Amino acid sequence: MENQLAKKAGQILSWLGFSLFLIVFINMVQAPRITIGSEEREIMRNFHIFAGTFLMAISMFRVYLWIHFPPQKNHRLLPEQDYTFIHFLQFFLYCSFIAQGISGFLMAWSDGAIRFMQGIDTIDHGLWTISGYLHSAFGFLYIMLILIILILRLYHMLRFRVFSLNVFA
Amino acid sequence: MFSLDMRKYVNNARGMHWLFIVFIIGIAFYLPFLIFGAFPYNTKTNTNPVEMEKLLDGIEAVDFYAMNQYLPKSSEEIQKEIDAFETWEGGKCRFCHAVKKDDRDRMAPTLYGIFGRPAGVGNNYTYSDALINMKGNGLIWTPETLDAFILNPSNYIPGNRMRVEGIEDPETRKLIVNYLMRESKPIKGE
Repeated sequence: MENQLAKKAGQILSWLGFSLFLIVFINMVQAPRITIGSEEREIMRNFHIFAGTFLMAISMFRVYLWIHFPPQKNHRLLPEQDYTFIHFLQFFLYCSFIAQGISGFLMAWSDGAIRFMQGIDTIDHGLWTISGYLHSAFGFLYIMLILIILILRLYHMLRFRVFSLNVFA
Repeated sequence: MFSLDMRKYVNNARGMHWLFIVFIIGIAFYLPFLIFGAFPYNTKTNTNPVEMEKLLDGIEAVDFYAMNQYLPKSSEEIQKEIDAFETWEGGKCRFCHAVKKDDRDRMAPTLYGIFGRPAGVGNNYTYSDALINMKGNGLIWTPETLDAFILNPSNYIPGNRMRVEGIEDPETRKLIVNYLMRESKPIKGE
């Protein structure tokens, strides 16, 4: 893949990632308030799994592109170290989405929400607890990363006059 | 796996950047415990039958569920109990606790057959030291002790991991206790 093509693909994936993140985030905030076992809750959970899987797939592709076609610094006013730091955090943001997806998949699988073979019981409360804890931890991680990136962007704007609110790179 | 450019890219990030990311990963892994009281693994067996017998030794056997006959019977009242226990606007209890025998275990211990049971004995859950101490102190869950606990959990058992505010309204607490009396009744012989 050529550099220009990779750059374009990276931009599209970033926007897709951002949109899916928003959808999953709204779902994540609303779903826990709906009573367990209700039909509405089941629908929201299935939608969460569906949208989350897409977000993980997009993040995987984005990380692949990032590794093979690292972003190039194009802000003249931004010092090298600040540029590296913010991209370092953004790279980890995508990694946390992937980790979130894997732990979420394990959680759904061990809760019986995802089944690949009929009649085979995959319910495992021990695995559900571990993967659930990790899913929650990675959720906190990406929320913190997003907040830190936003604060850094604001700092860059005030200090170096580099205006960008791009969190998803 | 990493291309040469990526290696250069990562190497450019200073040690402080790595330290920072490790630090926030550490915080992220602590937050589910701090905010939700979650624990990353379960203790399969907390109490064996011999220990259980010892815990209940000398305690008058009371079948709390026998009092179910005095519970309100109107569908309106039953719906109120369900709302108090299960909804976000009510006590939020159902979000973490299983109640019936065939309910899937959730983040908190199951409340199936809770009345007459010593504290901290449910299996498949890792209890806080506070609950384990209360087990040693002989706390038995009764409608009265449960009511006192949900009034102010952190005051009744300091250091427990049920991270919810107490329910001040006595009517809501009564509805929750009634719900549990009705729904968590163990199947005969268990």
